Amino acid sequence: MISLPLYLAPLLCLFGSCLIGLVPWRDERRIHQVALIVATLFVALSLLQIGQWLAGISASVRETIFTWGSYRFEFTLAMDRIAAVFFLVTAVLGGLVIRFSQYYMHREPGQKRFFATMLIFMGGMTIVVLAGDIVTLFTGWELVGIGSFLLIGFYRHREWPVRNALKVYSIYRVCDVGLLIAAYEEHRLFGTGNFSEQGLQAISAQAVLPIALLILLSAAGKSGQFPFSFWVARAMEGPTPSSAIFYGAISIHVGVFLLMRTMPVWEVSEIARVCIAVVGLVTAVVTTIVGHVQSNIKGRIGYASVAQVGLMFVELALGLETLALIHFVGNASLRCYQLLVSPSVVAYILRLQSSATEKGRPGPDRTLESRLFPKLRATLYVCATQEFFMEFIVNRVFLEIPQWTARHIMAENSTILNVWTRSFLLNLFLVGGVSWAGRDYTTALPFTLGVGVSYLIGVVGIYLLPRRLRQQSLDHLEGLSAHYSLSARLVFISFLGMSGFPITPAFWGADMLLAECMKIGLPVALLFSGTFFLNGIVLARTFTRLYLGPAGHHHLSRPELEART
Amino acid sequence: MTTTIKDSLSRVARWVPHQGPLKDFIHHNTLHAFQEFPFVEGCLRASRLYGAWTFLPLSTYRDLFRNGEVSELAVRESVEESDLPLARELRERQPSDSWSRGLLSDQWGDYAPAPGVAETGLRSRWRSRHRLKLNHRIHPKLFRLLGQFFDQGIAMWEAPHPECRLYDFVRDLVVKSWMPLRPWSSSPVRGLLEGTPEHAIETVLLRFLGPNSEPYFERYLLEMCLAHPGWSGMVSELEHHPEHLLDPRRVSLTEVCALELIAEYAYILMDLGADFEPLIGPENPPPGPLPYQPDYQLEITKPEQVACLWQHAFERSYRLGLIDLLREHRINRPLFALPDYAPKFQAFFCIDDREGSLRRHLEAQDPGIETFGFAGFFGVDCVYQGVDDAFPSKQCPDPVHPKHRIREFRVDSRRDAKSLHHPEIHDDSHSLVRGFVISQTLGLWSAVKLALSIFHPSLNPLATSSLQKVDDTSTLELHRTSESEEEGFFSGYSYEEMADRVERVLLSSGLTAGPMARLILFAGHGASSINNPYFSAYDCGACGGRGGGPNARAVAMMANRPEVRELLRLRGIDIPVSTWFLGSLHDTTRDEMRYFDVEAIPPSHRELFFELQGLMEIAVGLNAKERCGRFANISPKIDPRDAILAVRRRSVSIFEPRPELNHATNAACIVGRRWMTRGLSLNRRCFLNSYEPSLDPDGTILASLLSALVPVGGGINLEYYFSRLDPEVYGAGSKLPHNIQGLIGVINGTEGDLLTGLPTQMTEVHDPLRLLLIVEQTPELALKAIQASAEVEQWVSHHWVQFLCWDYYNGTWHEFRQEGFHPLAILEAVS
Ligand SMILES: [Zn+2]
Repeated sequence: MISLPLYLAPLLCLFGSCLIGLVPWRDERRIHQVALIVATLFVALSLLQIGQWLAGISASVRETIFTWGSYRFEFTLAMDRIAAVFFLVTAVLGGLVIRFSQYYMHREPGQKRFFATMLIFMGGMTIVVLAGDIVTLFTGWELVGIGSFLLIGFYRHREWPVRNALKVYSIYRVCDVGLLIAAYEEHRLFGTGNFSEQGLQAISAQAVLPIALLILLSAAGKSGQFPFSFWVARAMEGPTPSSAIFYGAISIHVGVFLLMRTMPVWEVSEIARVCIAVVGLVTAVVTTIVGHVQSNIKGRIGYASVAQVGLMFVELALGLETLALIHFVGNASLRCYQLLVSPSVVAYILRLQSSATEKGRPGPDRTLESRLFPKLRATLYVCATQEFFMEFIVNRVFLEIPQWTARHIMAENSTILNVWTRSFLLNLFLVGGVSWAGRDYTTALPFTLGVGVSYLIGVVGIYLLPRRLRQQSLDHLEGLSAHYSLSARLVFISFLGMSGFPITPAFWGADMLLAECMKIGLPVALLFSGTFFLNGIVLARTFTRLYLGPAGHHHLSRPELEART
Repeated sequence: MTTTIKDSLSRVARWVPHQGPLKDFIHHNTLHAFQEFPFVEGCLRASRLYGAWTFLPLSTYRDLFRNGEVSELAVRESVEESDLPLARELRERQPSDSWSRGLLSDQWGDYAPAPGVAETGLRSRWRSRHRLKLNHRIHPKLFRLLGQFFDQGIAMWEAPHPECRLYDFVRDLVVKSWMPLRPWSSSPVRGLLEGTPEHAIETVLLRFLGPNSEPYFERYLLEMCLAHPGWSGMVSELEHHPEHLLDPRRVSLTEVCALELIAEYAYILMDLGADFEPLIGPENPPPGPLPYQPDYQLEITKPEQVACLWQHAFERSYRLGLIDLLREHRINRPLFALPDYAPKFQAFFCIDDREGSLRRHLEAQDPGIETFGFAGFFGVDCVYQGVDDAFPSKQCPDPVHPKHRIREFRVDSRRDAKSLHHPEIHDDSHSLVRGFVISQTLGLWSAVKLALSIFHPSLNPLATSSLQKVDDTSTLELHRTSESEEEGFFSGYSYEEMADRVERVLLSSGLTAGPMARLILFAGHGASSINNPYFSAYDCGACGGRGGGPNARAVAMMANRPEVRELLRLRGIDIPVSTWFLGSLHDTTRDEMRYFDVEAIPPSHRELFFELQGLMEIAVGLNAKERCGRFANISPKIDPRDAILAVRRRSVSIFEPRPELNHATNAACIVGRRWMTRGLSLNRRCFLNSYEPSLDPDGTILASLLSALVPVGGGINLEYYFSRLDPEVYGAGSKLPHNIQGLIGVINGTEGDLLTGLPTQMTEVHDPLRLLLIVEQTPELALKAIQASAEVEQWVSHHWVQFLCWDYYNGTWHEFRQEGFHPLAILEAVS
């Protein structure tokens, strides 16, 4: 029997996503057909490949995508126990949710976007779980992130989904810095990013501690652990099936996966294990309390799910990998189902409440909290209501610098062209600095080219807008994508390119540059990646402000506008 | 001074949406507050206030015209009758056959609603002058507190002291907690919480708006409330009707406004310091009048006038078509009403637009079947407590205040109560430890459940169905034995009262005008759905958003009582001994019929009942088939038996946001004899109310019919109308991202405002047409009946419904225009 290469599954999803992109948006039937065929094939493929792995037919892939000088970019996929479980759950729940959505999304405007993004997400998730090395994992990680951004902001003509999408994206970006630096630190330490080779080396616990903490930061951020838990509730803005698969089932467990995958690295450090356990435990306790005061059903399910993820962190810190795997499967299925049937809760609870045999409200847990003495009870309640000030803390610690940069360096409140140009110049400045420091100018070429082309695409997109809109200051949401969709698409592509999204040239370029930075030293690498990611956040903010949000009256001509004021 | 704040807020409360909690979803006119204005003017003023669409986009009308849904003739009539400046211009400049071309052209530009008062008014100056985004900062915090305070069972941890008022609840948290409740705990504003809410409002507003700004307080409060219409509306509704909640809360709009103002003050002090400029001053002139005030200059833009003409033409098109259909039918109708004709079965259905097609299919089975339409509570105004219910709930139209309670009790006590629990939904999985155990054990099982419910949907405890209330082992406690009241209700009815109710149904529907059949059926209706927070909007509107089974059962039981029949005989209604009444329930989603008290049917009527049951099975199959024609993913050529399976599958599918289309496409209401419409396919667009004009010589029956029909039918119609026109402002937007808030409402995301109106999934196929009321009666009596009630008169004379009168003597048509009926000109010219 021929063993099927592992990259088939993610490729299938990404290919399906592109195929949906080609179908006209009015042709709902065709969109559904493509999505269903891809999802079915995907599930079949996952079963087949897991079967092959069980049968002992190795199917791991190691491809060198390209080399540039001494730099070699590798793409490694491998199957093992953890990957198999995550792969299976992603495929089965993803397939079910896509099937569910075919009926659910019937006649919904924007469903082309929805299915295309769902497939991107499933493809990204597969890359994450099958990744054999950390850079490959990062590629999938970014795909999952952008999928989240697009689906939270699915109702892009409304204010809150767009704002929350941006909020979640910013937190994801913070986690990305952590992961990328961890990746290069690992590379430096082990000489390889390949997970299977890392476990074989004995490295002192002290040396791996920084890596472990960076990994913990990104795992905690992506999985909504303390102090990032608040975003999980904010992310429930898209159609229910997308919330179910992302924040109920799969995406929320990505941090658990990352910890499992990098377990050989951090396992040796006692301090790291204690930190992971503490984060998990604090999350479990805090989010359970916060979840108890949630008066909306999706928030309640979201926090309950995050609390269980916290327990999984604890399990992993204790080395109970198998238990955590079972826990993951159960929690993912349970929360996915709960979110999908969440609209039923009204009829269900009301029936219990009005039923003569049940007598009144169905057991809210009043025993413990109501026994506390009043001051403590009030304090706990106030903390729970405000999510233990998590949003406040995260804003202060992580997001104030990006916001300050956005305002003062990137001139965020001026025009879009100004921001785009400053961002481009900032990139050039970075490249110049790094190449000058490293005395190696050839490595800068791919990055400069990638960013340059993206910038030009963006400029074209911007010039498609009428002059008065182009020159408008960006102090609130303008919703231009409703009437200038081509311009919006070009600027979005430009944003992806300039922020170093995987599969764009700038990503490979940035990757190489970062490798270069690591040679110079950690501070330079920190500065480089930090600035690079800040830049991404600013571009996302700018794009969001101009193109998303409630559509105003921009499509009207000036006399029409004047007529109504 | 304190009283003026209260008065201001009671005036403000008028302009926020009036919609109760989900469990009592009752259709009503979204713009009820604007009914004092003529229809078009009211809609335009509302659009200026809320920033909503008044008409469809011009491109939609053009499409409708091209598809033939708006006819050339209708456009001509619309331009001819309109007094808009644009219509005058067209009339003067162009010949009538080029008007539609004139309206089709692009020269008018396009239009979109301007932002409402909440975004452009006085309060928005914080944003435009000071770059303060107060709504972004305060709304999530305020909504979270409100949500927790009003929660009816979603949160596991109840708010501390839910028995005190909202204001005290917040103050209590601020005072007792060691941690700050931002922003109410901040030291400069904390003191304001100590006083009364009215005092806080006055103090803060005076500081915000400057000295001598009292006249603008109301305006600021209105803008603040309209920035979150859902919560303002819910609070004001619960302030006056706390009984909407099972677990009542004490609250007032004043308290919410005070809390919000204190929060605003806190942020403004934080950002601008203590010496900020007030919003009204020498450089900042006070704002102009509000759209609903008489001195407001309402200007209608050119594109809006075009849209208005199109909208009239759209309504006129439907009207012309329907009148043609009815006139033709009157001439060609099949003759069946022979003098010694005896009907085989008679059946009463709700006037609901969804029952029209079932009536047609049933009648088509046998010429001896007669059907009647009567409001689905069949005159039984009661609160009802089923065997499984912990407390009674209202089973009659919203404006009626019932005085009687009907209790269901079980004859056969062997039957156990079914288990209602569903472990995945139940609270257990949300606590930490139990959640751990459940996800480790039951977790995987829910993936299996999910797969099953996607590939093989079946009835489960999550579904709601009116059929669940049909119980063959129970009976109703109808007859009152004692005169004492229990919790404000009489338990049951006296024979006299029963006779009143039965008489009303039989007389006003015109059944007594002819012979009575041996078996007479009363069919209430209800719906089934799953995963649907709007479930109560699908049930019978005349039963207060609940299934009409108990009412149908009760009226049949009343009419079968010998004592009641004796009383009726004295009043001149002679029910033959051989006549038996039977109650039943039609599930409009599943197209399933259940009969009550089948055991009690006398043996002599058994055969007849089985025959009726058989015919009914065929009719519901055909009805299901007709309904399937409207669902995009089911073939219209489907076999009736498969159609039934298809609609039943729909009713239990968790992935189906449209279990049925409910009242969508409703457009008309016909009050008259059945032969006007018998055999006529009205596409499930008409409410059909049976009425015998010859039995109503002084119009009192018509007046009492209209007094319920106009607000209820018009309310359903206009709720669909406005939710379709502006799904985001008047409607609830798409149902797909909805999240349940505290069991009282739905929100988007986890911290959005409560959504009011109907979701797009219910309204997308709806054509926004005002209800066309057609009454078979002489214009004189119709006018008298309209004027009998001030409410009905306002609806009709301000054109919130269109009123046509069809003279039953000579078949002429009359239209209600300016205070009276005028013969329809065009029709007479044609005939
Ligand atoms: Zn009804």
